[in-house]
Amino acid sequence: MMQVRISGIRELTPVIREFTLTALEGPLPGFSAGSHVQVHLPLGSRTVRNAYSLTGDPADTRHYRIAVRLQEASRGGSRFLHEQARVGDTLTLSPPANLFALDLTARHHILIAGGIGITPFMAYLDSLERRGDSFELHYAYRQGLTDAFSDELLARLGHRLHRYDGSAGQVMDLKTILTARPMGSHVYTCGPQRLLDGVRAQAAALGWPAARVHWEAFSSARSGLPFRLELARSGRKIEVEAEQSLLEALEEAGMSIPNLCRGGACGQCATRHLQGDIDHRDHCLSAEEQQQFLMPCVSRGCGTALVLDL
Amino acid sequence: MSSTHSNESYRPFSLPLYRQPSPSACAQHHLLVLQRPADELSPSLQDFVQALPRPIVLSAADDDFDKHLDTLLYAAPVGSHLYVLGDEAFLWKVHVTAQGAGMLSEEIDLIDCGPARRRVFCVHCGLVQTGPVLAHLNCAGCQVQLGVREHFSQRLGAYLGVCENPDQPYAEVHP
Amino acid sequence: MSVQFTELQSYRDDFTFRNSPAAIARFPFPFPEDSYMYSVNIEPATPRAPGSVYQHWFDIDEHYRSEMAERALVLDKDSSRCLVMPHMQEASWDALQLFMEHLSADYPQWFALSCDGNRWHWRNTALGIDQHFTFGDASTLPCEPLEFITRQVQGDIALLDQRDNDLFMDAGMVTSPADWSLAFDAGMSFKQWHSPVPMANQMGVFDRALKYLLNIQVDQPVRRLNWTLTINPRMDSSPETFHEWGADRGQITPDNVGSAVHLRVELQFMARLPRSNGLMFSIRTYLISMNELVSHPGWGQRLHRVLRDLPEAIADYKGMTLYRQTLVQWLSQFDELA
Repeated sequence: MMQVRISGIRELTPVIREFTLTALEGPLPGFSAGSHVQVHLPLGSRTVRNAYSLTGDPADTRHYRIAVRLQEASRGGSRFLHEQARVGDTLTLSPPANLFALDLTARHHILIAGGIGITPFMAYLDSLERRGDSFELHYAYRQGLTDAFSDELLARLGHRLHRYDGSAGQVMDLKTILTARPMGSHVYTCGPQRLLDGVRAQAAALGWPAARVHWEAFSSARSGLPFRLELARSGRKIEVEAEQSLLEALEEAGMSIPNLCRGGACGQCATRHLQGDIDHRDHCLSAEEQQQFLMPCVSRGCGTALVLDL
Repeated sequence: MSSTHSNESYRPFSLPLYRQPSPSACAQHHLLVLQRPADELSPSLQDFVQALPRPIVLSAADDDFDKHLDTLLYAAPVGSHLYVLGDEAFLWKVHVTAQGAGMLSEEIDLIDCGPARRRVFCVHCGLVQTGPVLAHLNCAGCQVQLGVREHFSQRLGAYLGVCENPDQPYAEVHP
Repeated sequence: MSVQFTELQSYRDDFTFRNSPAAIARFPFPFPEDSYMYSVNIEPATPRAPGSVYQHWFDIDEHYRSEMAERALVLDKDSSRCLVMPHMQEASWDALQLFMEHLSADYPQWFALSCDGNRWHWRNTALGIDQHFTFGDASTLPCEPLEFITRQVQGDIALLDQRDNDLFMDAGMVTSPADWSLAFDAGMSFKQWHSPVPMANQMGVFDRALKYLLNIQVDQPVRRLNWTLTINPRMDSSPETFHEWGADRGQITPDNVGSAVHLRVELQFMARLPRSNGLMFSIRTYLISMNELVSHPGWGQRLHRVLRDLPEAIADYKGMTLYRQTLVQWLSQFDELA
């Protein structure tokens, strides 16, 4: 865990804010492009951890930057950052981890971003330019709403940037983007789930091997119904509240569960379940695996008491 | 490292696996590289070649093969799949070129048609030499008698050759 | 407590290498039990036991100058022992930074680092190096960054590129291998380069190890111990030079076991490289002769039992077939129950 101070807040769009975070003591840990940090957000009586991509230059050891989109239908983490966080406030961060790294052997990098999905690519650009790698960026957004960094990207990238303003009816043609690309290309995508699904489907249809296709989903826990939880090994019984994720309930109870993405994608928190109805909300386990395991960061019990092998 | 025999049930992971020839279901472009003319292939391999959708075909018998191979591979877009038919040494010579052009192993099918010839890397002098499949050979570069190990490098397209008998490193292999 | 260096000792030809009593006392004896089997014996590399080999990320001991001289000799004869693929340049700088930061913090009497933005100043008074350079600009160093720094660090280093849910050995400095070749293994995936290790693959050991390594985070390094035997304190027991040293294995007699046979322990240390997202794999080698080893209470007995009962496939793989009997027989005199 690290303590940082909010040293700057910049409104990029009416719903997207950039935060500059400075270490309280010592240098910040180095990170690789595509890394994210978990920001610990105090929401009333409990702490919620949200993962945000680091947008700043990985060579900058004094500041981290994140850009947060205000999510309407959320549990309040982004709302806290938009409405309550102030310059000078202290935040706790989990150290950077990377689930969306560049493939350093790629001959050409095709970056496809939707809305707030632009964030990991901001750090990519610093690395790619430093390496002198060939790349292009496709950025779909709604002008004035979800077009963070758009103007500075145009100034920086020129013809390597392709912009698609959804509110003007401009749509990315994934087939064109992925057809006849030079051997050695890799494609990376980040944004809404339907964009990720679209890129993966189009790439597969065009014969792209899976190893050339990379994606990061921005998902996080959604609230649900309260449910009862039992830990088989200790016999402890816990009530998980509607606004609380199963992982958060376990952490509140003092359990230490490995975790990285908080969004059901990375597989780290996989936990064996023994009994009970489960609402699986992850993007990671196969149907067969879900018979035995669940991802507590996003999935929930939803009927009879959930019994975990913990 | 020094053992040259393995358990029956254990196949060293680095050794190449040659696939049964079948057209890639999702590839958009099919590239076919033959060591020998197609009409010299077995009937089942000829069927396979016929089944490939509109392949670009290159034969080692053609003039300027190396140059054409480079041009073909460097111009191939993602979505291409490469099929190579020939002896093991030829397969890996082409595979090494293809990787140099940025292709992944998943994008390459190697079909071993024999006869048995392979590449061996001499760890003592660094020479990669091509020859029949033998357990021992004298390195053409430094003359050390090599035992060929069950360890393979895809980057070099060659098996590992290490001095077989350190008491007599240069003893000649007698056929 | 500051480390003092011995006079130059050799790891070849006349083999003048010896361990002082202090070096023997801190030797990382790798056998917690009377028998040995492969396992994923990886643990968090938490600094512990001041004065031990586990205290710092990178251990500098009394043999430092001797080992660096030996590395220089190997590289003179064979420059292919150091290799950095083009896409690993950033990882190379990552490694240089890790080494410089830790060595200067842990051994301030020998190493100093001061940084003014990208302008760095490195001093290694143990080897008489005083280097100003621009971090990230290889033209400001006398040689490639990984080579520059690993010529000043004990142990072999491999830098692994992490991609496609796997690790690839795409850079390294390997002058003291226990019989493996960087020139051959370069570019291999995790399971490919471990391919020659018998039995372990069938046990799923490498699948589990790979999964663990892929998840190592910045500043959370891990370590494990590996071991084999070497005849004479030969650091460069490489396949490249096998035709020069391989015959030594047939020269062991009951009279020379104590001085010629050495236990070779590798302290393997794995750390995430922050900016390149690669993994550093440091292989720090410690050698001890049988005579020195049995001077430590209990070690002779334990080693006797481990080697006596070792499965043949593992014994063969570790190259001890020709002299195992003689060695086990000699060690039995230190076993109470033998």
